[in-house]
Amino acid sequence: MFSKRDKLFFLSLLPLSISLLAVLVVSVTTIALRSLDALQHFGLALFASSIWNPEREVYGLLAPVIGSLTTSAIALLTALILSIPLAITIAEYLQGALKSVVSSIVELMGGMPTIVYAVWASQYLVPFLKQFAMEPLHSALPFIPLFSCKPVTGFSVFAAGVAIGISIVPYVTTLILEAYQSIPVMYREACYGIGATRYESIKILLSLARPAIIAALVLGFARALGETTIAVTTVGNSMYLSSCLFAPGYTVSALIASQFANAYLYQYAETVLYSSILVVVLIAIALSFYGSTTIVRWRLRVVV
Amino acid sequence: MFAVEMNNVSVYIGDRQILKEVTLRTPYNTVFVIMGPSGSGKTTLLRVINRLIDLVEGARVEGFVKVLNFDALHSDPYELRKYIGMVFQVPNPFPHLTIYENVAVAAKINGVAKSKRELDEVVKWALEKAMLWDEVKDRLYDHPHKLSGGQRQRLCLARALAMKPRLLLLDEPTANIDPVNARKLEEAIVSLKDEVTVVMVTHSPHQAARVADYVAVLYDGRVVEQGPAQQLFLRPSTEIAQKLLRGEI
Ligand SMILES: Nc1ncnc2c1ncn2[C@@H]1O[C@H](COP(=O)(O)OP(=O)(O)OP(=O)(O)O)[C@@H](O)[C@H]1O
Ligand SMILES: [Mg+2]
Repeated sequence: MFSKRDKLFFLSLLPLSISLLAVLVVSVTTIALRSLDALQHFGLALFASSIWNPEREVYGLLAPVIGSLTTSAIALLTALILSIPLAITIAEYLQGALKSVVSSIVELMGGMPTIVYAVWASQYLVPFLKQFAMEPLHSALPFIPLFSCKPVTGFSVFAAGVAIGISIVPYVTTLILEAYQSIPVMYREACYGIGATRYESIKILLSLARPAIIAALVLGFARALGETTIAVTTVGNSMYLSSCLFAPGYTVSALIASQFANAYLYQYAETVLYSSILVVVLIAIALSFYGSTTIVRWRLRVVV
Repeated sequence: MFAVEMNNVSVYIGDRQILKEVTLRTPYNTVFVIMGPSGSGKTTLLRVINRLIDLVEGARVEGFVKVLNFDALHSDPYELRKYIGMVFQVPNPFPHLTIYENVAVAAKINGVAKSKRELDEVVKWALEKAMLWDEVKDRLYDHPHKLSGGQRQRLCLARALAMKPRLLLLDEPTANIDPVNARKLEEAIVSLKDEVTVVMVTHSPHQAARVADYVAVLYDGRVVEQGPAQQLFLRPSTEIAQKLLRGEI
């Protein structure tokens, strides 16, 4: 299956992959060890309340954990809505120079430091969303718990979710584009060979790529979980747990960014923060593993 | 009236000329067989008819092509392809769809079946016509990777039939099939003539003799001989055709 040169190539990469894996294992172990104190002292009660009062050594991580999951879910939805049309536009409708310009822009956006998104989001996106999404949704559907509160500042779980979602669009788009463009030509020909229009072919080919697209979104979700700068500038940083998306909240990453510097002053603050990282990191690793293996398995089944 | 009419058609890929001033006529409701050695341009010729040649980077087509009532080179290719089914040299059933869905999708896209019952009937009909029904009727919801190469090819034929095309392009449809099933498939092709016009590529002179009404012999991108099958098989006038029929090229 592999030639001798391929094997040599893989072998030469082995030390690198092993050291990357080692870094991961060491980091996770460190995080786990550091969170041990908190987990032993507070137990699972740590994740059952939402109080942050280091002076009295009272901690609860429910709000940030829920906040992380909710913002990431909104980010996923945002990326879903924007990335699939963007990838299809690039793959199917743009040609020549325009196609390379747009792909380059997407790549560029992906490489942009997230602080750029954070500034843009807190200055422009949040007020915009407040006026054109949150307020209308609240007026129209106030009986739905998610929309039940009037947005006050606009800085909220919802705003953070959309902002993070926009920041992962380039990443998710690139993954979807790669999958879509790796579909062998013979399946496109098969579509045309049964009289499918362009639109019908796109539908068939998208369904062919569905496992890879879902995996791309899962990877996007994992990345959104870890997003820090954008979260801390848009989520509103409130430990108050609300069922309403338009209320300020917290995410684990935002909590760490804003509390880590002073945590050493208190007995348990630091180890509690580590245990919140542990939860998010474990979820992110599991999702990334699932996402990447799904893409590989899909490629093996469909592409070769 | 002809289902396919080509006048002086040349195809270039890059600066290489693949087809050279091809002129041919396919009467409606006949089986038109294209023969020729490997690399002579048979597949390319089929791809001109349904404009799949458009997918080839750097390909250019010159000349006049009439397909059904379309000026093929100047029509909307998607509109044109609605009437043309194609079975490819390498079987390409959709890997994510079941056997049933592979056939059904073609019927659905072209509005062949309106209800679930009609759809079931069309799928059965197409699989029967493609000589595959008996082998898959108990496993319609399996995926095509569980089929043999020959079964996959017949699935592709069924898929093409399910769209109820007016023109059927078959690129070596029996290449991976055992002689018994190949014979059955030939019968099916002949029996389709009432409904469709068939343009078929084959390497086998015997197969051509069994199914063809008309034959064109391609050599190095040129049609060196064409005409009614019986005439061509009895008295091939060119040396290339004679060699080809004897299986020497
Ligand atoms: N995409 C392409 N790019 C460049 N050259 C091509 C391409 N497709 C086909 N050709 C060339 O065009 C010529 C005719 O190819 P074609 O596939 O039509 O032959 P064929 O008669 O179908 O052969 P076979 O019996 O082996 O299938 C060949 O010389 C081939 O190399
Ligand atoms: Mg060929």
